Amino acid sequence: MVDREQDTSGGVWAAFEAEALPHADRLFRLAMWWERDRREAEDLVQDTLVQALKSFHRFTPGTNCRAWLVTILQHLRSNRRRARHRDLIVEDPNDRIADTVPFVPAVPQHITDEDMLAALRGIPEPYQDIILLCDVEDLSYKEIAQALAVPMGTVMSRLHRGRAALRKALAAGGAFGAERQIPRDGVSGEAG
Amino acid sequence: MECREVRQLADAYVSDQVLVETVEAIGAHLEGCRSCRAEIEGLRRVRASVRSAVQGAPDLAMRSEFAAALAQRLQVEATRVAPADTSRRVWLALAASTLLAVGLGFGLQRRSSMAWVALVDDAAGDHQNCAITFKLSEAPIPLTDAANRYGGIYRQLEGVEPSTAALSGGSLQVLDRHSCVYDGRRFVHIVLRYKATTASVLVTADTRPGRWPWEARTGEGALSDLGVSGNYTMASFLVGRQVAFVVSSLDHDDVQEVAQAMTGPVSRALAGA
Repeated sequence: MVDREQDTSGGVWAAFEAEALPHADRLFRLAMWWERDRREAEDLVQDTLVQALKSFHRFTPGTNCRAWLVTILQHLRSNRRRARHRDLIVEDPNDRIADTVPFVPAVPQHITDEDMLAALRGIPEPYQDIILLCDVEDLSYKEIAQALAVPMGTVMSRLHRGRAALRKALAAGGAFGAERQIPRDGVSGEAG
Repeated sequence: MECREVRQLADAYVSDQVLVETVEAIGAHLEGCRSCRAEIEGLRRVRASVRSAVQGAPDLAMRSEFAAALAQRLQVEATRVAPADTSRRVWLALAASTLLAVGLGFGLQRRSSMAWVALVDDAAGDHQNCAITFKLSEAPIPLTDAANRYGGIYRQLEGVEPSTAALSGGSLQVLDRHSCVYDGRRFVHIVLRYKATTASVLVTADTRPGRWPWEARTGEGALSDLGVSGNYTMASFLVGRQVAFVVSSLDHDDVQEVAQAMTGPVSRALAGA
């Protein structure tokens, strides 16, 4: 019988459990926001963590494990979206707000969670992604750029435009226009 | 620093993405500029509100049942991570995390992880070597004999039957009930037949030194999906100090259905033990 205390798989599990598993809850919230379906989100998070476990030897201790997990999550999500052909409708989110960005309304003093979630849902998805990764997940610009596979300049310009759109949506008391599918791979006219 | 520059750097400033010197320069400007101060405060308010709304939204929260099943499935998956995949960095991470996690809590969790992997392995091994290939070194004994020798749970499970004899794919039959030993661990073994395939319910003492925090939330008798372990699909549930595994080469949905038919009867029988 194997001495399981010495088992290398147990060692991997212990390290993974200490480093990666504490991020599962936040990872799930991100997946749930993106997928809008509990079963899909559960599949996505499970696939992400299984993939992370198998690749755990590639994780560099001392770096941001949540950023590493988000990168895997985003990669799997992109593959799923491509498989579902959800990236076919091409639209530049900058076109939708280009004329309105110069006027950025003041931020309301009191923002309810419901208003904020509705406003966030209403802005273009590439802006939602950046705001979630920056303001909720607290990733650096560099980590966001790696997770989304876009240049850092794109992260900065999307964050600026996204926050402006969010403030406009909040001031309008709801969604910033109708929700539509947005291209996932780069947005024309952005800094990069 | 001018207002125009502050506005250009405002997003990076509230996101903590500017250099220390720039932070100081912006701070100096904000002291004397009410308009820029209001702009920065507004951005911070939006940032804090987004975080609070997303992190607090109940609709986005993970179910505790899923969290429990996920952790168990990952533990099983960890047993398949080849030693060759474990580079020096993993061992350094393990050493670092062990050193950092001072105290009994982490040690207890680690021992619990090892003990859980051993339980899952032994349940799969017993199904393979008792129900499928009959290669046990010690012959199985009737539950009555086991009860006379060892007392405890054996008699309570003698007459246990599925909650329903007919599942979506046909009848679920009990072929045998006995006690057997695999890898030094004694089980109550209920052998079932569903869709012309053998399935096992294996009940044994939960020998882990501690249970996971979420197991207290999911409650006893809650079914955990262990996914595929080796050649078998597995599920488990806890009752008192016992753990029950359902093991079969049936597909995932079938094993879940079999497990659901057995969870209630086994739990009720053990509750009376």
